[in-house]
Amino acid sequence: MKILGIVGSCRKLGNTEILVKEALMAAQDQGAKVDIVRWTNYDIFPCEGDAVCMFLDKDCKHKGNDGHDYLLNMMYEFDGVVLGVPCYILEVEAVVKQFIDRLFILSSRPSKMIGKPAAVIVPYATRGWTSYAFLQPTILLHFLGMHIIDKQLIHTQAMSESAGDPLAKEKARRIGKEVADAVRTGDHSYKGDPGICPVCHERNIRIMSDNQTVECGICAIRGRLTIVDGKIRAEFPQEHLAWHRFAPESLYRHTTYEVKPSKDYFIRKWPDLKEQRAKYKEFLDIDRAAGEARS
Amino acid sequence: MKELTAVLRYFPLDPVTNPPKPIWQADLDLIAGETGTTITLDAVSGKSRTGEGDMVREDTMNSAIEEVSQEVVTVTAHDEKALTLAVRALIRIYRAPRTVFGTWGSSPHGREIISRLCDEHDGWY
Repeated sequence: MKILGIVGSCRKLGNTEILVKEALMAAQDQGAKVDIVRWTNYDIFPCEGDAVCMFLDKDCKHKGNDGHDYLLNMMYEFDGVVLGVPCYILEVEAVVKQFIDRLFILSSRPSKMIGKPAAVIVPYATRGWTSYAFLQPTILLHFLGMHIIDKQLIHTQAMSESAGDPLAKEKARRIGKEVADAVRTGDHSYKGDPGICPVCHERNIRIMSDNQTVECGICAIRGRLTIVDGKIRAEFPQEHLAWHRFAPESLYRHTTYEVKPSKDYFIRKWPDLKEQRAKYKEFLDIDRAAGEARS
Repeated sequence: MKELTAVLRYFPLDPVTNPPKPIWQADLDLIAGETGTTITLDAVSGKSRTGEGDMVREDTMNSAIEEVSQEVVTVTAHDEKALTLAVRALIRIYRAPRTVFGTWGSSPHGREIISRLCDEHDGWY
């Protein structure tokens, strides 16, 4: 049983590192072999959208030049993950989003984390500034096909404050134990706040433009709001739940019918577009301007 | 007057994102009658498609858009107003095509009309 702690924070011995280590200590107590990696120690270059990984089954042009492929393959060696990343301005640190964008590679090289358990720790400083704290971690872990078994916000601000906070450490230890238990027993049931969405347990519900339908923006399941005993509930048809956005069959159909046919579209459009874009090449030199700004 | 064509391609997605009700020619005929347009329905079964129901498999990487499994709704009209009414009714019932190539085959102005109506309905409702 091997569990990886991922730290998405630059701060050395900051709260995220401390809390992920606390979780790993608890997992170790359960018999897990543990290791840790700080993603922010690695460059993760932006996806350039050339889609060669998708359409041509080629390696990403950044493979070997940055850390994404290394970090992804490192994860594949583990049975479970504790992801810790701080919440800054409503969302977690950008390294998670950078990592997600490069996961187009999964369209030709399927994830090896499918069905493995994961949990999320998000340290944050100010109550009320965490609206989307779990958004990117949830997208990341679901896109990899993992089962999220818990998510915890941990209120802490001073440098290394959580080292002296029994409640913060208790939450982290619980996360570590839960992941270890999930790996050992195969019980991946969700242990955290049930939230509104029955799939991802988030509370970020979108009201669609018909002003009747609601959607979990992460999972793309749709339903209706009701008020029962004065409490708002979102009711989703049972048959939709298995077809949430990140379910393997949904991802297959998205890739098969919404992504791959665009290759033919691009090829057919290219002769016209090649001419139509010429005037934009002549108008201002965006890359020269960027170079001047840097120098 | 030059004929306008709007093509709406619906691919076999999941039950949540597929058109929420099956597309039948009889229903399209009603819309066509109300809007003064002609609407046809063509079902394409991809050459490499296997499986049915929940486990469809198909190699679409090197297929022409028209050869991929899909339902193609084609609206023809002689004026913009009629086409707009028909496409708006279709999007309200079946939602908008989800991809840029989901309108492939439309006349240029027909495609503009679809895009504007998709924006009007947020692409979904």
